[in-house]
Amino acid sequence: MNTLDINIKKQLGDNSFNYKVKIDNFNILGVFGDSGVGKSTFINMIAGIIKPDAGYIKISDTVLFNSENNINQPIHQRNVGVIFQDTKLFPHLSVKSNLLYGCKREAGCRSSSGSKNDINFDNIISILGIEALLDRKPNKLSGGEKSRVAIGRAILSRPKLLLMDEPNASLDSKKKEQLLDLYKLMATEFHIPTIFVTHSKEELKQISKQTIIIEDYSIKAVVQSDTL
Amino acid sequence: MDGFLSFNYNELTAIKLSLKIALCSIIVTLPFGILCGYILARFSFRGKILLDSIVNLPLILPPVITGYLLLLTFGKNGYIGKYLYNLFDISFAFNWKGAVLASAVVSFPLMVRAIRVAIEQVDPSYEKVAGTLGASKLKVFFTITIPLAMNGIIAGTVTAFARSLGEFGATITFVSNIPGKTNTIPIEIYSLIQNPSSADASIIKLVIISIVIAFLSLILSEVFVRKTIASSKDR
Repeated sequence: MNTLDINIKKQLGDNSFNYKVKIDNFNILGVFGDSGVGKSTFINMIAGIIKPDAGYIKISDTVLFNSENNINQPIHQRNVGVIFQDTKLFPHLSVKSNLLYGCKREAGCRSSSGSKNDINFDNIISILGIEALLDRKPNKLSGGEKSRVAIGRAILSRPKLLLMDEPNASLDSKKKEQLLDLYKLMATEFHIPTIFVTHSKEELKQISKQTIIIEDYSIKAVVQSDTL
Repeated sequence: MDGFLSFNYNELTAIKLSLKIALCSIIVTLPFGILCGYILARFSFRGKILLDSIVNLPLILPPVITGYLLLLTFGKNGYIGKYLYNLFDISFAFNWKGAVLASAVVSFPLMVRAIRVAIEQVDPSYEKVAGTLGASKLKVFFTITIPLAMNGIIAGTVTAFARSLGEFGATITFVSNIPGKTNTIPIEIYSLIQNPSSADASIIKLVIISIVIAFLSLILSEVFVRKTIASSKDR
């Protein structure tokens, strides 16, 4: 089952970041905190974008980082997908090429065992409803469409863990709700453990059972989302 | 008298030689220019200012000094030149390859400058996202960084090409003025001016050709710079 086991420290300027948490059996895990309390730093250290000073990061049986054994898997070998606030679709590539960027081999993303929770290109684009957008460039997409493509791209790379860093920040509330349902569907349908970061309690109540609360650069508590 | 668009043998040789040297110069420098621009744009390290200064030195150094330093280094008896000659039978002295080397050194800073700015404008989070999708650093470089900086790379290359065509001082110092081998357009114009018996028409023709090529290059380069600005606004 999915386990997240983290105990890391990092000094950045005057701020000491300190994250210690162990969570078993999660599908979507919320991360809550006001802006500037260290949510993104937490995500970036799991993804391998920022290197912790000391400690360890374990996802299920895999050690991504352990300062004692000098283990620090590089970003591209971690198999941790990230969806950033502003989607960061590659502007020079079509939607289709964006979606296929993380496929080890294109054929791998195309093949299908016929099962409906198979991660393959056709399945993903039909669930996301983006069949009509494939030939467009990202600058010809609306905000909601960009978010859909970004999640499709991340899932097609078959991540062991998916990190979503306030993916809805720039969208209006109606679109947000639709997308939250979609994220939930993707995470459960394809069995991808997901960490969802936001400063909105409403979003967390809708999407996650458990939520990590971050305050002052450290993890204060893990709570049931509906008690937020 | 010749029609304006007909060239005599010497004029034609100078034009062809100039184009060949400038073309070879950008082909040789482009990989180094991209590498150097990338390093200067993306890394901070001890000695970065030094690298930056060395790259830019030919821009402000009098060309005659650049030429003289090339002679000391890459001449047949130069510090590096003698090994190249003895071991590999490669010589830059008084031939078109030397002119390529001189053009390359002199135009390199212009190329690096444009490429560096273009790479600095590429948002590093695209590279990070590509990494999280499983792309190695090398794959990220070739599929994200280079394509997103492409307009700037082209602009830098075109500017370097134009600069190579105009190269005079370092070239004449390093490889002299040898008809058919090193007399590029500017050097040919210079020798025509030196010789009182030569026809003004020849000089004018070469001058106009130079202006036309330089003008086209600048326009082309400007087009790509504007494209870069437009596409960075798009993102």
